[in-house]
Amino acid sequence: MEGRFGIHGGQYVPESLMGALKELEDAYNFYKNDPTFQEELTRLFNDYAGRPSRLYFANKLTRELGGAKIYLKREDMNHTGAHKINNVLGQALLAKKMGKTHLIAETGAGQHGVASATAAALMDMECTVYMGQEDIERQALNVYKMQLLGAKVVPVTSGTGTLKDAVSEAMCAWGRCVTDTHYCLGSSVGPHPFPIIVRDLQAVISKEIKEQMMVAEGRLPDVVMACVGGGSNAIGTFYHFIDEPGVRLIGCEAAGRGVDTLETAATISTGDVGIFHGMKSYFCQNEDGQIAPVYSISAGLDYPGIGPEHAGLYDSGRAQYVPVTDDEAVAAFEYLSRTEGVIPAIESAHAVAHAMKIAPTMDKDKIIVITLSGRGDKDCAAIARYKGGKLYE
Amino acid sequence: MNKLSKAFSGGKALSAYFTCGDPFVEATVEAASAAIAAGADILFLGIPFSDPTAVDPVIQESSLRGLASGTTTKTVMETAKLFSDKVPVILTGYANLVFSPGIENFARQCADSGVAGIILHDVPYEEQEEFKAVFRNYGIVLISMVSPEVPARIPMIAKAAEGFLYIVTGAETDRSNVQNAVRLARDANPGIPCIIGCGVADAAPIETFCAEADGAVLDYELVYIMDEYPVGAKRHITAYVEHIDKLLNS
Repeated sequence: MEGRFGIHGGQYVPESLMGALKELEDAYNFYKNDPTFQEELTRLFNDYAGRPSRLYFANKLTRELGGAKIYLKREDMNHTGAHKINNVLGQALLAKKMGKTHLIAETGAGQHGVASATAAALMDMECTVYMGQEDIERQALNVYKMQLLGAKVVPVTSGTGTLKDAVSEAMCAWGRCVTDTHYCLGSSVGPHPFPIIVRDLQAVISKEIKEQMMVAEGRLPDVVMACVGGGSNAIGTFYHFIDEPGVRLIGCEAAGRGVDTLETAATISTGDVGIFHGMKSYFCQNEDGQIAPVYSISAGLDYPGIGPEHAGLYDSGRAQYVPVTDDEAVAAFEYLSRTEGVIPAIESAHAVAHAMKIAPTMDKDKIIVITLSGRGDKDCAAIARYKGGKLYE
Repeated sequence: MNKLSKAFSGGKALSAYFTCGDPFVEATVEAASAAIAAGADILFLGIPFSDPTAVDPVIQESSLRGLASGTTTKTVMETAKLFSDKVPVILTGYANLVFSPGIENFARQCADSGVAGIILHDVPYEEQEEFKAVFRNYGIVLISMVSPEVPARIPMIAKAAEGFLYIVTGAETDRSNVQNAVRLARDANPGIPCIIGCGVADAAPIETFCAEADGAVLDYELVYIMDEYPVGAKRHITAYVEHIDKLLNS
């Protein structure tokens, strides 16, 4: 069934949203096969966002770790500093074609909010971004950027004041204004058709990796890996390799202070199958089905669920999901900065951290590709404070 | 005639909504007793949920207060049991509250507590069957909802509806859309009672919405009273329910 990944996925939303989901699904099914739409999107990707992003051979990192060759897929080099722009340009263009005049979005770290505000400015649309109060404090610079770009930032104080609550609030808000508004969901989560739309738009990452790797090495990589919150950069990194059984797919979840503590956001490691935010998937929850407050140093991975396609890939054994703690991610953040002169987003540092564990155990003729989903400028002050410094933006 | 259809046999059926445990469970019990004594025909009991995304802020906050008072699914079932021999009790909540403990397990608890039906805000028509079939085995109906703003879907949903049909309205709902929704529903399923899930506190829109329908859910004002008068809500509940009852049924 369309929109299902094994048992996962579906459309678990209030009746008031079903009309809007159907409208979106019909529009997407039309435009995804429309050559004009695809041409416009490619032009935006290339001329505006700076695609294709580079696949960079991290020579020094490879030498220091002493095992597999490591390539970095540089989504951090995109306009607005993360992979989020891929999804947003596609959805904003689609919304525009559908006659919508207003974009609403949720944001955790602020990257998706900034990307949405950017696309709205570019395409002359209004933009409202829902952001948890806790995240507004953690990511003050991104809040300023969104406002600079003309978006309205609405603080969400309910629940834990983080990404989960921002998604809930944005979904509620969409229900009230579906006629003129498109909900530009930022990750490969939510009710069908969102997980598919977001995946298709992010799949440009694996499409490029495949082509670039054939040029660089004449073969496919042995491992592709990425960090996973909702999982959009990871599903984009995996997508064109799903049918290549020789390529291992690894998603790196945020374990926060550890999977044996309550302060974690590692959904696959600690969650159970449930229904939330419009989808059936894995969620951190208690025995009554109440969604658990989750924690990670990374605002972008601080989410109690995971996209349904990842849940399906986990169930089938096609992809592997591993937990990475705050401490490990911070160590990787510093390590990559020093060895390669690349400051990764703290989200992406989770993937780097796991690569640091496995690369030394692999033969030198093996190849790992790590997607660097974003750049770390936004995280510098918070990491400095984590390390005991007193840096404030 | 089962208990639920009996509730619709004497004029417009009034349903009283309380979020269980808001502000604490004893208050819910007292308020529900008062509402029933004042003429409520059906009791709606909300199961508090951590992330009540489908409802307006007033009910959302009520859900979080219910959770904060330590209310669990078990508390809700115990509360339902106190009333289920007096009026039909409808539980309202979210899919995960039912799915996570196991649909079968949840349905069995409902049956043990005498629950007549359940409303799951985030289970639309397309996702109903997984739940409906299990509840049906325990004699419990999964109530379907329609939105007056999405009329195209109403005939399909109404045709398959059991128990009654819940028409979701709010402060901004247009009366003609409500009329249209009721008409579409009756055309598709002549026997199905239609009730208005008000989303408003004032008596006037409730009366207006109810002109065509078979009853209304009193939610906003009752939730407001529970928040405003954590102690001594009873008097206000009685006065409000009697007032609406008189308005609709005299």
